[in-house]
Amino acid sequence: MPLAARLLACLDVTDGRVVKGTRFVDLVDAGDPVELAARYAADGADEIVILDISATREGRPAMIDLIGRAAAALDVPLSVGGGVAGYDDAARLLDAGADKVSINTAALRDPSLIERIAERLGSQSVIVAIDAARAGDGWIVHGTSGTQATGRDARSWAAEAVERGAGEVLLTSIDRDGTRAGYDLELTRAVADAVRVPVIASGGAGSAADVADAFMRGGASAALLASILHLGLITIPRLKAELAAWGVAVRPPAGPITPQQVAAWLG
Amino acid sequence: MIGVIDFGSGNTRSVLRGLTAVGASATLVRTPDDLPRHSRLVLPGVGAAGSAVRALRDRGLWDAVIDAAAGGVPMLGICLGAQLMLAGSDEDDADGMALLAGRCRAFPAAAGGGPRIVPHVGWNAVELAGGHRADAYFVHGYWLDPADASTVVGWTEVDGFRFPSLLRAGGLTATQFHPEKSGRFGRALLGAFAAGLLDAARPAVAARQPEPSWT
Repeated sequence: MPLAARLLACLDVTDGRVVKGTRFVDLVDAGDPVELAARYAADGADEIVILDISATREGRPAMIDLIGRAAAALDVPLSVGGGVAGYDDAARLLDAGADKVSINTAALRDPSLIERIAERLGSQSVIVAIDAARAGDGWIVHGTSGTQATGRDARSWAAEAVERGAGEVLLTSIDRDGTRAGYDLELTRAVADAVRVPVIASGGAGSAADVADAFMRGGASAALLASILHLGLITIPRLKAELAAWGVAVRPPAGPITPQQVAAWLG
Repeated sequence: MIGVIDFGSGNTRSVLRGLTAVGASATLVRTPDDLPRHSRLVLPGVGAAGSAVRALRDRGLWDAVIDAAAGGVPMLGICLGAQLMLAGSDEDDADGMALLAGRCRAFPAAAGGGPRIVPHVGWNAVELAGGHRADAYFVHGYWLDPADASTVVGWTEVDGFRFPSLLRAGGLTATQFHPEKSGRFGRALLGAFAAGLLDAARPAVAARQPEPSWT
């Protein structure tokens, strides 16, 4: 297996509770993000993304506790985004157990925030999230949860963010988000060609074919999956099987393995 | 008791959690005085080599960790921690602990045979001896280039570029990947280290032959 195309399961959380529905009917508490995250990880999700969509900052303290519990329950990477306003927010989330934080509006307001986080906590911990909508021949970046056009071009902002130290780019098509009409492949390809770091495609996945396209045609390194999973349109094992059939390298399920076996393999 | 060297690196707590999850007792090592209480050490690390070396020196841990590992305390280096075990790094032209001969190098440009995307982020296979393979999670922009090829027990390939991803020499184990984020394989590796299964010097192949019997 070469480097695997990554599938990221994304949970929207407000005040410490999962907002969108879930197909897992046997969870003790379907609203508990930790239980749901662990379930997706056991199902084969390559990473977990928790997005804080709390409308007010009052909901934020619950996130720190939540991230700590989620990190303890997971053996795959955990990213956190939503409302990260500055260096202190990022550092607190990473300290609580997140492996990466994604920053969006705060980075648009003050691009040097990317450098401050990258220099002190490492580029691997900084994902710059870009919400972009088509405008003429290009795509314009929007801030404040996609509501305010900035006038910045998505490709040049991505390149600047990486130059400043972003380790990955989470790219959401505003036009496709929630439509299940497929990722904006032209946008994905344009940004993937503009940077050398991994691009995570987001917004519009409705089928396994859409996800395969993000990797094969869009040049994405990872795909963010939300409603397609939550609504039960497809499962991660099924999605991986279909991707593999199309020739996309995926991480296969790992069987049980003991410390004694690993020690023997390490000679 | 396992000591996890704490020099402010972001994955320190994740490593501690991973060790706890496999039933090991582990604590953070923040000062040289904390070191002697530990029978095994983990050197974690994410971020840039230069600032990691500075942080370790500022806390007085640099020489103390070298002395402990060179004195035979088994040590697991993870990602940047693994890179620091070599003699130096292209990143920030940083010093290394020189516990293993060799250097940490930057990936070549894509046009020169290097990976298309850098850093190398995500799940990739570690090819182990005996045809075994295991998937592990990587995040790194530099690669381990040990001088002694016999220390390499795991290899990984990205876009045709092959690099050592797991080293062993004596009681030293160095993983370019993050076992604390690498699912069942990673947990089993942490469990093996915690149980002392990686303490012994790696025996040469010849030493595994049964002794001839003269009876």
